[in-house]
Amino acid sequence: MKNNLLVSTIIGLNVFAMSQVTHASSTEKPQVPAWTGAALAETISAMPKGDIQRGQVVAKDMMCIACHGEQGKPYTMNFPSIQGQTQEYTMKTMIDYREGRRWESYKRADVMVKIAENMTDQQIADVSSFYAAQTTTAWQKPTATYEQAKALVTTGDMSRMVMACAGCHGAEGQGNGVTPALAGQIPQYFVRTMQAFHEKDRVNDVNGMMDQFTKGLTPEEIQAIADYYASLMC
Amino acid sequence: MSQLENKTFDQKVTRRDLIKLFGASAVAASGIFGASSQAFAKSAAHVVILGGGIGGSTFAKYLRFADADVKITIIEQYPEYITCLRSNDVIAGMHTLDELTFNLETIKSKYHVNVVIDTVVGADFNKKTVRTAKGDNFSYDKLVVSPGIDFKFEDYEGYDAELAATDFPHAYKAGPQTLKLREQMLNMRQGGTAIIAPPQNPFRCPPGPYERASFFAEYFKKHNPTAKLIVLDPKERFTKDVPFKKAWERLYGYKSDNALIEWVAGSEGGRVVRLDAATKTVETDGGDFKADLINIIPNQRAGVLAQKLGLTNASGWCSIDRYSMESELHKEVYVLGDSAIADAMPKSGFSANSQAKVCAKAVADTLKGKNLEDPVYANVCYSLAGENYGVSIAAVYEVRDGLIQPKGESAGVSEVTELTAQPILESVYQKNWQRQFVKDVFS
Amino acid sequence: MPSLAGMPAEQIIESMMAFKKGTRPAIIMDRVSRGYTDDEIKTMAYFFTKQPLKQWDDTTLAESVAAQAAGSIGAPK
Ligand SMILES: Cc1cc2nc3c(=O)[nH]c(=O)nc-3n(C[C@H](O)[C@H](O)[C@H](O)COP(=O)(O)OP(=O)(O)OC[C@H]3O[C@@H](n4cnc5c(N)ncnc54)[C@H](O)[C@@H]3O)c2cc1C
Ligand code: HEM
Repeated sequence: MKNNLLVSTIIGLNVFAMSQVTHASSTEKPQVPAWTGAALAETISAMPKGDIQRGQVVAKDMMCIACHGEQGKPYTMNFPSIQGQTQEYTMKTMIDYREGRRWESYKRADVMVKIAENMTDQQIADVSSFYAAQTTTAWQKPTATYEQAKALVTTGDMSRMVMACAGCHGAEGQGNGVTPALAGQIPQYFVRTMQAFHEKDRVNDVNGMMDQFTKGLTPEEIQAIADYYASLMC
Repeated sequence: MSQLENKTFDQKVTRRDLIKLFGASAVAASGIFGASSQAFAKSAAHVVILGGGIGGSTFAKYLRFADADVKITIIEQYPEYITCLRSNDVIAGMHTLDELTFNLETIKSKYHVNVVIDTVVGADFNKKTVRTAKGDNFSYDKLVVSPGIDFKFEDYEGYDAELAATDFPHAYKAGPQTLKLREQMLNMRQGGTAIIAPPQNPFRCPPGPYERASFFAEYFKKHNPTAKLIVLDPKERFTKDVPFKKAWERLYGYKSDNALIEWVAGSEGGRVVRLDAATKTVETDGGDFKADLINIIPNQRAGVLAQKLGLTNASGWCSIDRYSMESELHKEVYVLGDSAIADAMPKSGFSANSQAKVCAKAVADTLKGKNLEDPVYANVCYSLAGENYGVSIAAVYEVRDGLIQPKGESAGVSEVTELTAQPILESVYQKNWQRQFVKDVFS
Repeated sequence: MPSLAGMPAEQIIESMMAFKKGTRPAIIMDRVSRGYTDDEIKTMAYFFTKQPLKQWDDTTLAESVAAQAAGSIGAPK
């Protein structure tokens, strides 16, 4: 019996090796080139025009609302806010999920990967324009570290090569094109994301900029900035 | 539940309250019991577990959480355990058997459990000892039995264990037969016919045959589009049949002219009574069916060991006390998992795991001379009707009127909706759940 | 699969109530939630909220036991 099992297991492995070719997509991280600024700009401009009304239907049909809430503000801290996110950034994110650029910690993102794999460019453009059309509301009240964080966000700290976040993400954290809005973002998600950039677990940004810009920040500062952005609204 | 009322935020929630509620769900990761590792006293009670599958392994771990001082031994016949969970995926090529293979090393080292690899051959309930094939005797204070299932080949003329091990695998215990069935599916001639014959109730993993049927249809759709799968069922209905059939309609043309899958109910002649291995023909109440591939999943009863130990009643299964899983036939012997009669709970790994947790608490409380509490059980069966199409059935259970019954309004199968993402998300959850689940059982 | 350790109790309770009432679309929690009374849901929420919050990994048994012993509030606020 045991011998039998062994032999068949070996046979089984051969059989599987064969079949892996057809199922690679569901288990292996796809090899996708990192974004360059030009490639990203080209991809985004090639996307179809989005329609807000159709996007609302997509949000329901693809069950975005089950986790991210009716207007993109999630029910709980476990899911990011996508309320009022720029259309370009949501489109980029969905493309990254679909093509395997955001495979970081696949076990947490696999819901998004599967959803995105089942969406067309048109659906992605529509749903992204729907969320872009929503008003961002704050997730929490300002905390004691608000002013400290605001200073860092608006002026940075050149002594440590920490860039001013507001330079790219907007004075109100409203985002700009493929640079995401941060206002109203869930602080837990914000912290987790920063950690992922640092650990190179998340590498879907252009030229690995995010890691460079934020290397000098202490964990306390990251928490303070997370709390600051969570309390903003646009 | 009265002692749970009036809890305020600041009150400390006791571990007792929680195990009661969780009986239940997959919360091992946040562990509820608290464990310590100390040398065992001579006088410490000895709990012996027969079978280190889903029920036995979960029980050992959770008994350790509940009682740091008790001595625990698992006697399991094989050094490695291949989970049936996701073994249909092996047939479809989405998993290897290796990925489904586990052992008891972590249970042994992390939870201070004595693991013996040997086959149990008998027990003396008066002397409170069990005997193994190698001739060792183990004495116990409490005995826990979780031996899985046995097949009733005698219900099918011409079918037996030997045929199952060669050309007619049932593949309902994961292992060589699983691979054999995959090979047969891959090698079936273009335009051939395959038959899957699910068993009569009750049986292990009620959605298992229908998930398997779905995978056959999905494979045919891609690689053998003129082939056909016939499901010959002795029953009139099956678990999650509404969402399953909807999925078959959506994916495999079920009920259309070029359906890849056909389902025959018992009243329409679906019950298989005979296999003619030489001509690859099955006989049913309604006539003969000839096929290229025949997968009979036989009717079932409690594991051989449970029968041998005299723990089964006339039904072929083991009746238990619903509050503790203690055998109604023999005191101080507990039966878990597929072998036990658990009323509304299906025979699943999830159920075995949930029952093991309830039983671990009951055994620990009994050893400490405490009263038993009302248990809460849970089960979720996730199945795939296609690689990216999940359907589920879920319920939380309590003991009511002497039976294990759904608690509140919890029982239900996946709603059939028109939402594109729903079956996709279910399929993702299914995979996530399996990953968490085997951790809860084996590590 | 969202983790519940360290999640604010109100978020857990609100989610469970919404699943129960059917106002939040669900895959499986609709049915699970209907199996518990409101009080049971609260009890569980208070348990989870006291577990240490871990962003990526599961809370281990040892961490959970320590958190319980300390009566900790896992969520930062
Ligand atoms: C195709 C398929 C798919 C499934 N999918 C799922 C799923 O997705 N989810 C789910 O919840 N369940 C699923 N199941 C069901 C699940 O596998 C069983 O319900 C579960 O394993 C029952 O646990 P158990 O402890 O009763 O028995 P088992 O897990 O079978 O354990 C019994 C153990 O006892 C040992 N044993 C038996 N006799 C002796 C002896 N004399 N001496 C020593 N050891 C002995 C055996 O070797 C075995 O290790 C599936 C089953 C199948 C067939
Ligand atoms: C008593 C036990 C449980 C409690 C208290 C509980 C609580 C919750 C809560 C509060 C959420 C929302 C999380 C968030 O939005 O951040 C959630 C979501 C979820 N839970 Fe549970 N849960 C329990 C059991 C289970 C079980 C047993 C499973 C699966 C086997 C499960 C699977 C899920 C899934 C998949 C989600 C995602 C949301 C959805 O259903 O659509 N939960 N749970």
